[in-house]
Order: sequence, then C-alpha cells, then structure tokens
Amino acid sequence: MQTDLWLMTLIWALPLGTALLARGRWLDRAVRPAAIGTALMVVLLSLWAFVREGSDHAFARSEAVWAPVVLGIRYHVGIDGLTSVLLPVSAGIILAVLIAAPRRVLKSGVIRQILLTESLLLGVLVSLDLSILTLFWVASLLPLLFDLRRRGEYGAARMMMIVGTASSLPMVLFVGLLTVLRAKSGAAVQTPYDLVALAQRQLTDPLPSWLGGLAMVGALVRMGCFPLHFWIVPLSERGPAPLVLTAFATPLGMFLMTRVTMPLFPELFTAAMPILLPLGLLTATYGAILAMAQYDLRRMLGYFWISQQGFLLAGIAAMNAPGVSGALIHAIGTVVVRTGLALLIGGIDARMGTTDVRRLGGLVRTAPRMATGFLLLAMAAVGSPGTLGFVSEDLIVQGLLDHHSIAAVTVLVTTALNGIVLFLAFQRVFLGDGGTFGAGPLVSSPQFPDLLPRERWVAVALFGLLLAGGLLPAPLLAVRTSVVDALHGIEMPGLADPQHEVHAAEPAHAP
Amino acid sequence: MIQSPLIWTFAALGPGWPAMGAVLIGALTLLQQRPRESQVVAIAQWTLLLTLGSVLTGAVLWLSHGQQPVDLRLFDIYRSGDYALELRLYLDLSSVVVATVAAVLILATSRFAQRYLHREPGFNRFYALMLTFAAGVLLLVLGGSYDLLLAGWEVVGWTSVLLVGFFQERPGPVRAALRVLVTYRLCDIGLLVSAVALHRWLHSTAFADIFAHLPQSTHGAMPMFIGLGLLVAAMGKSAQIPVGGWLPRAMEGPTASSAVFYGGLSVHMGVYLLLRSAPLLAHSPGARLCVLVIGAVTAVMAALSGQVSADAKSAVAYATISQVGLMFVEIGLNLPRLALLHLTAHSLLRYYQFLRTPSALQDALQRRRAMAGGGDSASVRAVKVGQTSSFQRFLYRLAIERFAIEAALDRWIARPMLAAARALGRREDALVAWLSGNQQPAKDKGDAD
Repeated sequence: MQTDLWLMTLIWALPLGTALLARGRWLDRAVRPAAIGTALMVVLLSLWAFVREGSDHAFARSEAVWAPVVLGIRYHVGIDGLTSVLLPVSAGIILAVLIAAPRRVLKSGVIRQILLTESLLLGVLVSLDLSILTLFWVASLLPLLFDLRRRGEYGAARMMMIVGTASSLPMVLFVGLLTVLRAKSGAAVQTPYDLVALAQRQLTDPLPSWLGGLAMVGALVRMGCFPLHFWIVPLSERGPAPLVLTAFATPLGMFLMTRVTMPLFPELFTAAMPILLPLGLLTATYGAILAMAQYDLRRMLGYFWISQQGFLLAGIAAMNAPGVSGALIHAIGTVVVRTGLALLIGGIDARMGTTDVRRLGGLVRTAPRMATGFLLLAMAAVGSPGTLGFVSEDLIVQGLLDHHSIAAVTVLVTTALNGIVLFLAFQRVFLGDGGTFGAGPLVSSPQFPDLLPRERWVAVALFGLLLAGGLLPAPLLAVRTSVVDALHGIEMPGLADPQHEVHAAEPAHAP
Repeated sequence: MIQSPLIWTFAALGPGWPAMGAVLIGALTLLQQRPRESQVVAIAQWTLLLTLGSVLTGAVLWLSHGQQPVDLRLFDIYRSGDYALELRLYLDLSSVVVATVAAVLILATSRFAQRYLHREPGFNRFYALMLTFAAGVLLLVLGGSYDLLLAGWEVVGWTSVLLVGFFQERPGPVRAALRVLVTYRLCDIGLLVSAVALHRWLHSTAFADIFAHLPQSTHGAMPMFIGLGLLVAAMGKSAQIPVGGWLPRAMEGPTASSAVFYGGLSVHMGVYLLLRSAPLLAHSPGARLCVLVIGAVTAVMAALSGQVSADAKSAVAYATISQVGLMFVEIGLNLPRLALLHLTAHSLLRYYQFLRTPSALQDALQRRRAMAGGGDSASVRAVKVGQTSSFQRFLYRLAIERFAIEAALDRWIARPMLAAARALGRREDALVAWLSGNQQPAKDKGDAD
C-alpha cells in the first residue's frame, strides 16, 4: 500500500520536481542530462509498476489513497491494466524525444516545459479522483500554449486557446455540475469525485447521461476527431517539435474515454455509438484523403494522426473485446509511430531547413539509415505484418466485423490510403534524383548527414518496440483488463443485436 | 518417427529461416558500416538451404499422409475475446508444389545475384529484401488461413515495391515503384474484404475449416462476393487488365529480381490465391465466369501489346501477363490441376528467360552468326504501311498505346481524386487561418528563452 502510493506519486512528481528545480543560468548545461536522467528514472519506475502489476495483481487495479479529504477531494491514485502499459510507453517516448531531438531545438526552457508536460500527462494517467484528474487534464496543454506565445506563434497559440478551452471547459463543467448535483441530492457522500466509487454507484444511482456527454466532448476534442480536429495540423506544423511530441506522448483523449465515459456512463456510450462509429469512419477517411494532398511532411503527419484517431473511435464504438483492445493497442502503436516519424522529420528539418517534399529528394544517397528507419516506421504505421499495427488493425476489424461489416471495409480502405500516403512521402523525400517532383528551389544536399548514433538508436528502439509488440502481443492485451469491467456493464443487455441494445438501454435512464 | 513433433516444427520453419536471415543482415548493417558481401551471401545461402530443407520435409510429411491435405496447428499468436489468430500451416498438392518451386528459384537467384550484383551499392539491400520476400512467399503459400496468407501477401507486396524501385537515384524506377504500390494496396482491399466476409459467413478463415464447411453452405451470394474480392486481389498481383500496367514498368529493377519476382513467383501469386480458393470458386459459377473473362481478355490484349514491344524485357513481361491470363482461364473453367501444372512450368521457364534477357542482344548475334548471314531477312520482316488493312493499323495503334488503359485510369480516377483532396485541403486551410485570427506566423523567430 505504502509502496504503491510512493511509486505512483513519484512517477508524476519526479519530472515536476526536476522541471521546477532546474532553473537558473548556471544550471543550463546540466538541464539536458538531468532531464534525461529524470525521464529514465520515470521509465524505470513505471516499468517496475508494470511488472509489479502483472505479478502482484494480475493487472487488476492497484490503488493507493492518502487519507485527508478536503472539500470532497481526496488524493487517490491507481494503476490498472491500461495505465500499466500506457505509463512506461509514454515515459519511454518522452525519454526518446529528449535523447533524439535536435539539440538546437532542445533548449533548456523547452526541456523544462517537456518535463512539466510529462508530469501533467502522467498525473492524468494515475489519478483516480475526478477533480485531480481534471486539474491535470486542464493544465497539460498549458506549457505548450505558453511556449507558442513566447515564440511569437500567435496564430497557433490562438488555436491552442480554442482547443484548450474546448477540451477543458466541458471537463470543468462536468466536475462543477457533479458538485451541484451531489449537493442537491443531499446524500452524504464523503468523496463525490472518486472514480472508483462513482463507477460502483453507477449501477444503483446513475448519473444523468448529459453529464457524460460533457466528458465525451472533451475527449473527442483532445483526440482530434472530425470536425474538432482543426488544431492538430497547425500545431504539428508550427509548434516546437519536441514539445508537441511530448504533448502527444499519451493518447489522452482515448484514455479519458475509457477511464471516465465508459465506466461511468455505459448507457450514454451505448446510445452514442450510432454517432461515434460514423464519426470515427469519417475522421479516418478525411484524414487519409487530406494527408494525400499535403506537401509538407509535418502537415502530412498531422493528418495521418487524425486519420488514426478515427480508427480508435471506430474501434471503441464496436464495444466488444477485440474492438476495444484493438483501439487501445492501436492508440499506443500510433503514438510510437508518430514519435518515430516526427523525430526523423525533425531531423530532416534540422539538417535541411525545410520539410517541403517539393524541395527534397534523393536523400537516401547520403542517409540510407534515415531512409530505412523512415520506411520501416511507415510500414509499421500502416499495419505491415509482424508489427504492432497489424495486430491492432486486425483486432479493430474483427471487432467491427459482426455488426458493422461496412465499417470494417471502410477501415481497410483507409489503411490502404494511408499506406499510399506514407510511401509517397518516403519516395519524394528519399528516392529519385532530387527535384523531379516540381516547384520550388531544390535544397541541394551533397553532404546530407545520416542519422547520428543517438537518433539511430532511438529509431531502432521505437521500431523494435513495434516489432516486439507485433510478434508477442499477448502482454499488451493486458491493457484491456481494466476496460473489460466497464465493457461488461455495456455488453450485458444483449450482445447479439446492437439495435436491441440501444432500445434496451433507453428505459433504464429515462427516469 | 516421421510424425515426431521435432520434424513437424522443422517443416513449419520454412517461412521462418529467411526471415531470420533478413533480420541478421539488418542487424549486421546496423552494427557495421557495411557488412562484407561474402558474409551476406553466406547468410542468404544457408538460410535458403534450410528453407528448402524445411519445404522438402513438409512435402515428405504430406506424402506420408497419403497425399491428404494436412492442417498443422502450431499455436495462437494472440487471442482477444472469441477471436484468435492462429499460426497454422496447410499442406496440399498446390502448396507443396508451389513452395518447392519458390524455394528452389529463390536459392538459384541468390547464387545468380552474388556475381550479377557484385559491388553494386545496393548489394546488401537486395539480399535483405530477397530474404524478406522469401519469407513472405512461403508464408503466403504454406499459411493455413486467409489471415496468414494475407500477411505473406502484404510482405510480398512491400518487398516487390522496394525492388522495383531498387535503382533509387533514377526517376523511372521510383515512379514505377509508386505505381506498383498503389495498384497492390488498392487491389489488396479485395483480399481483405474477402477475409472479412469469410469470417462473417463461416466464422473462420482457416482453409481446413472453410473447406469442411463449404458443402453445407452453398446458398446465397456469399461465394460469389468472396470470389470477386479474391479476383480483384489476384488481378493486382498477377497484373491482369485493367490493373496490369505496372508489370512492364517494373522491369527497370535488377535482372535477378525481375526474374524471381515477375518471371517466377510474385506474378503467379494471384493464380495461387485462386488455386487455393478453388473449392470456394467451385461453388460460384458467376465468380468463375468473371475470372475466365478477365483472363481471356488479358491474354489477348497482352499478347498484342507484347508483339509490338520494342525492348526484350517488355516483350517478356507482356508474354508473362498473357500466359497468366491463360491460367486465369483455366481456373475459370474449373481446371485447377491444369492451372497448377501451367503455373509450375511457366514460372520455371520464364525465370530462365528473364535471367537471359540482359544477354538477348548477344544471343541474337550468335544466332545470326550461326545462320551465316542468311537469317536476317527471315527474322526481321518489314511491312509497308500501305500494305496493311485499316483494321491492322487500328489494332497496331491500340496495342502500342497499351489500349490506353493507364491514361484512362489516371485521367478519370487518380487526378480527380487528388484534385478533390487538394480542394478540401484549401478549404480547411482557410478555416484554420480564420480560426487563428489570420495571424501570419512569425517565421524562424527562434526560441525566446
């Protein structure tokens, strides 16, 4: 119990501590090593948590509570199957960013922001108290926003403001209204924000569905689902690459969906499925089509990300074990793929000063390793056999298969389009004689340097992770265990017929 | 003795050996700047020999089973809910024969390329890709379910694309590679959809289960639908009209890979897919009719285009397409045994012919010398335009323009789609600019820290 509490607290508090302490001009040189050390510690701690979870609790929830209750808020943290996988992956990604990002971009200020963001993200993952979770959630976009302001990217900053508001306000409202509702009902509940307690009470004393709608909107904005996706691309293009990567190190929207919306509002979830599924498919297709039209690699990657979010949404909307576990695994895989590709693209940017494919070409001649890395990650991204993407896409399709064959086919078509998009980018940047593809002055590169050792090993590690996940996916399926309870709550009414499920669910929340 | 699990495991490792070889070469490349050619060749030869051993062991096991199909279940790769992806192999006449041919041809290619590509910058890359391709082909051929076949199919597709674009610095091969990729990926949707439909219909994609369940469930349009999906996939891989334009363009790759991919193996995989699914197609005369028509039309058109090709490799490529079209016809007529025989003979012959194409000029000169000058007028025949009928001229023009299929696809499908995507993108950019207050981003202002 005590170990759990310390472990889970250290995971989010350690980066926060380093971010706050590593101040002052004389420390500037030491910031990067200190940050890498901290990130490494967090990775090790979360790996320890993963192993502990697996052996001690078999991926059931392990939780720790720190006693004082102030205004109904209690410091309650926990790790379950989902977070036990998400924590090491997210921490590992941030470590990878700190190691591999170009040093020119990685100034001490940015490093501190990265650590701050890491702390807030991991805080969201471990919180089991709704109010604390919301606090972390709202704060997690702020470092990026301030950084954009400071760099004079006012357009992108304004966009972030809109998004930050659109994803935070519903959550804040959610917590506020929950408080009001509890006060009105007059029931003496000691900890009204405790997620575990809320999930248990949901059976006897369900919350109104519209309240869950707020959390769902917040999550959808954060995922970047159509038509709430506008912020992803400008941010990918304009934001400081390492910090943006950090902000995307955890599939946070997806996480909120499975942590709050599904267990607390199963009926809402069932009712919203007829909207979520088409929305997911639309997002997937829209992202893939727009990615095809892009000339800038970072913009292309942004649309690719949007397209993948559509897959996730479609997967959870399937509301069965393969669909949901496929979506969760796909969320993790997408984050890894995106990080790898974005680091390589950042490397191109740092070397050439542009990421416009019309001005690039033939880089493979001097940078074969970079080309190979890009290609392998791209293949993993579109579910090439043997990688994690194959497993997750296979599961998503299997999940959709029984009741939504058309949706399964749409997912397949979109995957094909995504493959074309990424290969097109690879071909334009790395192959050819350079400059065969049209407009703009070509950036000539007789001495384009190949990957540095630290970049190379990070790329290898990320691809290795995807490969290991693809060949031995069984441990990763642990992510599902926490969601399964919530899922059973939904699946009970009638698994065979989704229409029936919706109707069966309606009378339940009518009163 | 022959049934011992050790032997079964060895037989099942057929696709595993070349995969290990490819990983080994990849690891060597990562650790050293450039591994020596002899190391790479040694790895390739040994893994391919082991592969051949595994395949032959599988053949012996199949024979010892009285030539009955063997469904070898190994283990679950993963499982979620009711769904599990199993690793299982299926050995029957077609898979054993095609796997043996594949193992032999790839081993021969490895020998051939050792000298042919000596000191070529992409030597190691070629070997890594060829081993990956071998793993893909053997998984495709030996895999016991459509899921595994699909995995192998994808690997074959990716490696083909990369080998077509092997000479990366020339724009031609690179553009050809893109065309191959687009064709493959779009046609692969057919196979995916069929697998999905099979799951839904018979709740399994394992061949053994499907073939066992088929006789009881022949009703409905399902076999037709699945058959058509498989046909689309097979058309892409086997370069049938109207998606066959990639094959003649794929010839700029190294001769060794042209031979093993487009002469010997890759191009026949579509036929193999249909052969594999023959019991399924037997239930759907409609799908078989489509296979027959596509094959027949392709055979005629490709034969005509091949006649007017000006270079040796293109001519051979069209001849290949034409023969594969005939195999489609045989499958359409429900003659799988004949198609299998045709496939085997054709892949061996064509493989050799492709390997000889770089020496075509020399061969021709030798022939001419042997005929002591008298051969010229017999082999080269000039036809005056005035002497041809208008129908002949029309046909000639069509053939040399390759029946304008690619131009039509570009004009009516590819370009409108890209234009629509660009238009959508502009809309979105305008909206984003409006949302961000039309602020021009401060370029390269740098970090203010």
